[in-house]
Amino acid sequence: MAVRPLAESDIPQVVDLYWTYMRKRKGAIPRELVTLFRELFFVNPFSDNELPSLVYEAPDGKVKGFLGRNVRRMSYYGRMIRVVFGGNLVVHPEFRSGVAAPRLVNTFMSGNHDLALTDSANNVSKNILQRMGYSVVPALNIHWRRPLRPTHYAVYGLSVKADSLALSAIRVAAKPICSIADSLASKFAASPFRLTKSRLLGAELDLETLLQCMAEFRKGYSLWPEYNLSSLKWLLGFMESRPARGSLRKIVLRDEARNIVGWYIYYVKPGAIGEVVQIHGDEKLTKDILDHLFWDALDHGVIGLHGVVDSRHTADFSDKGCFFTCRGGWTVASSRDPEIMKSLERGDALFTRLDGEWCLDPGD
Amino acid sequence: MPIRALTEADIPQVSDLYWKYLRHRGDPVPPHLHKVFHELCFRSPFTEDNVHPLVFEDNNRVVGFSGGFVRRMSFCGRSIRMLVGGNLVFHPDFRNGHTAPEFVKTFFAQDADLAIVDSANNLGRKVLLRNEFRVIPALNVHWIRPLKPAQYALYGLSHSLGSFLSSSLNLSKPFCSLTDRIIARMGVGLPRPKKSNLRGTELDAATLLHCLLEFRNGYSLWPEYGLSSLQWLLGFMEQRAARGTLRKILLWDDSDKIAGWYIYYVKPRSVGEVVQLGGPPDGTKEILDHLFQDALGQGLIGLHGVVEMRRMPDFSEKGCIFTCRGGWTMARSRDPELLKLLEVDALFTRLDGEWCLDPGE
Repeated sequence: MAVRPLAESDIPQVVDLYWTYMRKRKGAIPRELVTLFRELFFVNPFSDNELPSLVYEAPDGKVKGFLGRNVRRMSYYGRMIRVVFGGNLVVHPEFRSGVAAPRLVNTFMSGNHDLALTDSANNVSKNILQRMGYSVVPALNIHWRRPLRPTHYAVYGLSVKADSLALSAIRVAAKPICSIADSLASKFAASPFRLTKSRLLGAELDLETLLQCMAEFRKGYSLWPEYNLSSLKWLLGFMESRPARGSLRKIVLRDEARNIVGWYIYYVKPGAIGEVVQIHGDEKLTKDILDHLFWDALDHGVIGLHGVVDSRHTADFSDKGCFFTCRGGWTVASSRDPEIMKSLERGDALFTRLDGEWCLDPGD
Repeated sequence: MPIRALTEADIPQVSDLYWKYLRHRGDPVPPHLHKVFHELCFRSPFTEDNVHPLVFEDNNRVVGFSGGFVRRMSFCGRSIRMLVGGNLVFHPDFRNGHTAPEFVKTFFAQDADLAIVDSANNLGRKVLLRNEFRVIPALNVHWIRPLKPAQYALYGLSHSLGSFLSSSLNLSKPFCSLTDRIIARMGVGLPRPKKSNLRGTELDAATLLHCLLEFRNGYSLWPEYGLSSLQWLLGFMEQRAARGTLRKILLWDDSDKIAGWYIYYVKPRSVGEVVQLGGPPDGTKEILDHLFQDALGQGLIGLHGVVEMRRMPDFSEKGCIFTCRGGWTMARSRDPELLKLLEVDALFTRLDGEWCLDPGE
């Protein structure tokens, strides 16, 4: 039984593990998932031959465990560092009590990198990773939530959580009442759900502009991701091709003098929650950027927004009616360099959902 | 000179300002409030001769007041003075946009290594930002834990609506109780508080002092107390009825070792304000389980507090949500290292600033 690098020929078995035991789905595996895994782990600009994804092979030669790996380049005080992301850790149930998961994680961690991160671990993975020396970094685990249509949001939350047919039916039946309540909630001047019209101007965000924005607005951080046009193009293309989260919307914001002051990228899913990938810009204008995002999302039929907040902006997000939780996928980190860990803990890292493995989720 | 140190003779005028313009009360000032201000400003162990609460005077009339205290903190083992500002109030005729900032500037010009405010409102935040104070994100994470979600939602609504609508909402209390029971039975919504394995007993000042010493490892900045200052502080807090009854619980594990503690205000059928929760970091979830069960047993519908960022994941796993609403903590120091430590390494709770020294009603 051994841990070895993932080979292209393993893909069908890995996809099977992922589909059956991670997504907990029955029935035939969608054919495009095999193509997708191949792209994710062999074509992707963040795959690295020196640090490949890993499989756990049983004595009969069958693949019984998998740990995906992506390698990102980041700048730490201007020095280029190698950051590895582990994701989609899945082990066949018959091998879960043994050494499969620890061996996969140990091999993963022994690779040549400056920082190892996972940004969407579930509770089980988080516990395994903590035992292997990873730490939960509170500053990277503050998820924000902003109900835009509060009663729709509450009913949606309950029905998704309970996963019962009866509650789904209640959700549909309650729609007209929710709409009236939401319209009232947005009318009261003192209501935390009332939206303010932004004075910023939005336009479609293209790749070159995004790259320029990232370089422009990283001042004040000690750790940030490095992109070039081709890696960013591949990444956004990949994200756009995954329909599970909705359609990807990318907006650049300008002030009255037509200067770029910020941007946001989020998934639009009408009647559901919009997942915000990245929101950033001039920190003095965070509230204006949020105002624009909220209007835009409401316009597109989104009932609430979720995202991960940069810990230094929590006050502005709170002022704009957001609340926070740590639920929504754990970010855990490990580094041999304690200074890098301190930077993460201090909230000195410019690190968003675009920069890890969250955006590389293969989906359903 | 319109700005000067507070004297004992000013107390009636200060109480009057506080009552009318900070508490927005129209009835006469309760006589005990004079005593409270007197004790706070002249008898508290956190007063020092060279740092004074200030008043702003116009034609021999007190029209502005800023309370303040000095707390001793340890900064990597070195004792430092922390100036804590509180209860800034101005007569409406003097809220001209210049007086308050000038007043704040004068107050915080008094000698200290670190200046802090832990319950500024939005207006206070603006004034302090103009005085080079910074919002410290790590000290501004307020946690909320509804224990009875429907009743808690009703409580929240009735506090944000006018008094007429609030009274109408009160009619739906029985319906909310029923909803809470249904929600609990269906297992939807927030996770139900678990029964804790820890055993709780009454916490006294001497044991609290011991706990504070014992569990400050891993921090670089922490508050310093003596037995008498802690006794005075807890005594003062116990006398303030507005927030409820102060409950102080020490927790023990199976082997009779101290496993943590918590202090909170109990107000049945209302929200309990948690002053301090302490103990080993890996025991946070057990402590929370005990606290939630205890609060439910005391008839509370929810709990509020301020969480240390390093404990946030555990609080979240126990069904807490977070906001920055509930009073701003802001700080200023000439030493950038001190401000950096506040971001990640400070043991600073509601017991250690001015929140717990609120004169109340």
